Amino acid sequence: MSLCLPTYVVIDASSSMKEHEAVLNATLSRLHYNLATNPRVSEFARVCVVAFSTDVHVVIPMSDMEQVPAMPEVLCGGRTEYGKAFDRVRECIEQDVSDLRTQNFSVLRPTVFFLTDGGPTDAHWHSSFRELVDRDWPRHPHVIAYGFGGAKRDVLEQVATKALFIADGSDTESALSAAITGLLNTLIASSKTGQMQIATDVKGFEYVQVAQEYVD
Amino acid sequence: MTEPHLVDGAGDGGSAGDGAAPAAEPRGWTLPRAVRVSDLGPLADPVSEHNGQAIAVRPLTNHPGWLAKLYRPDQHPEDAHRLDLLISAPDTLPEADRAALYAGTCWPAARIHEPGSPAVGCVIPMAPEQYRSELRRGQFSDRRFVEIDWLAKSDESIRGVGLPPPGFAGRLAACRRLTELAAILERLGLVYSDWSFSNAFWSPGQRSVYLIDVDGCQPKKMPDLHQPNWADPLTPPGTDADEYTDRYRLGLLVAKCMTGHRDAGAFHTVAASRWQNQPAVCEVLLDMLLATDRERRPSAAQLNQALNGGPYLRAVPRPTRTALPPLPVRPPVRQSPTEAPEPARKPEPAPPEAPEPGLQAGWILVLVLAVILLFVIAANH
Repeated sequence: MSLCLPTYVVIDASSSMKEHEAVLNATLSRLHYNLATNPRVSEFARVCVVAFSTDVHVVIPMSDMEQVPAMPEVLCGGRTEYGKAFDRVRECIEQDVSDLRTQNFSVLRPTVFFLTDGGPTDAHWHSSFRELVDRDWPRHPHVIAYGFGGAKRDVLEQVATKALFIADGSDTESALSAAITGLLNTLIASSKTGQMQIATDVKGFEYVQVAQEYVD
Repeated sequence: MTEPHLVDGAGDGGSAGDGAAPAAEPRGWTLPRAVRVSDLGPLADPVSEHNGQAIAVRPLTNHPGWLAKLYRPDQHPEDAHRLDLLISAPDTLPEADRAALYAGTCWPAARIHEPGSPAVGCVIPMAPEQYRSELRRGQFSDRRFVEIDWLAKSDESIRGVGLPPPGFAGRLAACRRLTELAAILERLGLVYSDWSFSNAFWSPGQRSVYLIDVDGCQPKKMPDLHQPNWADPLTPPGTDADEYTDRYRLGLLVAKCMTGHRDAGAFHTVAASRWQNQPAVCEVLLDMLLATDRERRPSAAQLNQALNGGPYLRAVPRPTRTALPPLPVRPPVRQSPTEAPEPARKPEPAPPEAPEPGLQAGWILVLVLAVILLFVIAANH
């Protein structure tokens, strides 16, 4: 059976990202190109792209990116509702892990790459997050968070269960590009070993070790 | 320090700095078989870092086409002896095999040492330019070494990134080359262990392959290098890899590259294939992959012979095999919510159902009665 890492790229598409929308889409397209032209990585890391603001949109359902013709464009606008994003990711994981197992994959713990430039605008996101990472739920994912722009460090310290990257003041567009590069390097390294190997050297970001890492 | 002992081009290389005589190097640079980093001249920025046993691979500025592969500091001292054996191993080969090995692998040319560290690294040739191609998809493109990974994809996928699709002939040629190299390693008594998608480059234009990381080869056995999806089911975790592990992984790589399938579909496609001009390939591959006795797995030389149209010659009885692995279930088609809904398609007409056996017998009876009735009517006229 082939090993498979369900990977969720969860991107903040709220109004604060509107002015960076073109760069966001170009960066996502580059991610798609790099995955689609690395068969070993796209075979290992099945990717789902989720954009969230006031609502949540599954931009790409769980896929082998080589089979995805092109990355759809993400439109930015609205609030930064973390809770809805966490709820949707939980639903996706539940379905995707079952699908991957049906396809005879050995499924690793899912990993959520959470990219945001702002703090949550919903007051009750904690309960959704707790359900997502509840260790009693066998499919609970690792969360690797990248914060830039107006992201709140203290909030992301609660969200990250595996690693946290905080931009060191570089502009949002450079940070976005570097975060996606870090994400890609993590997937490439992990595909070589079959285990989560986090690329900790991300240009323009401070790597913060997560003290309360969830133990599988 | 300059490079007093090193000479570019074939010819006599002068005296070796370390007492080892330089051998004529068919790859264009004669150098002593043990050198210091300072003997190599300036090193350019790394082309790769922290990859496997290497901390860095750096081009030699004064010797285009050559690299210094610098190991992590935790190498065993006996690695120096092993490297020396590897470097001199081609001397024992027939000329044709030596030429094949040098043309198709980054075989180490010299051991790099420093005071107190007998194996700091090694000097290796850079993969030839023919193994780089431009990959294109959408608005993006880049020029890079093409890993053999791509050969384990369908022709359609390969075409999709702008590479020429290999077809059966291209796949066969690359696999012949791969198994020729594997057979040479086997004859040298070396274990590679690292047979996988990432350790060989493929040239779609030349239909050839180039093995990398061969400086990790060891005589007879070595720690099993784990790579996801390449685990030999008959080499238990924690035990060393040996020639039989290599045979399994080589068979797996060839099965995937010949069929363009990456999962259990490769096994099934091999089992169903009848390659007319290579009639033995299917049986050799299935024995490599499914033999219940690992020591009865056919050798790389046997596979190479079969790929060249030869028979499956064996000195031992055929192994029994395990069953083929289950075929993967194709994923359900799920539509992205951002995509426009597909227009409703006209349903395909259902194929006519086969009549049930009981119904069929009834119709035959009616037909027989009708014929009898016709005879009776005809007889009465």
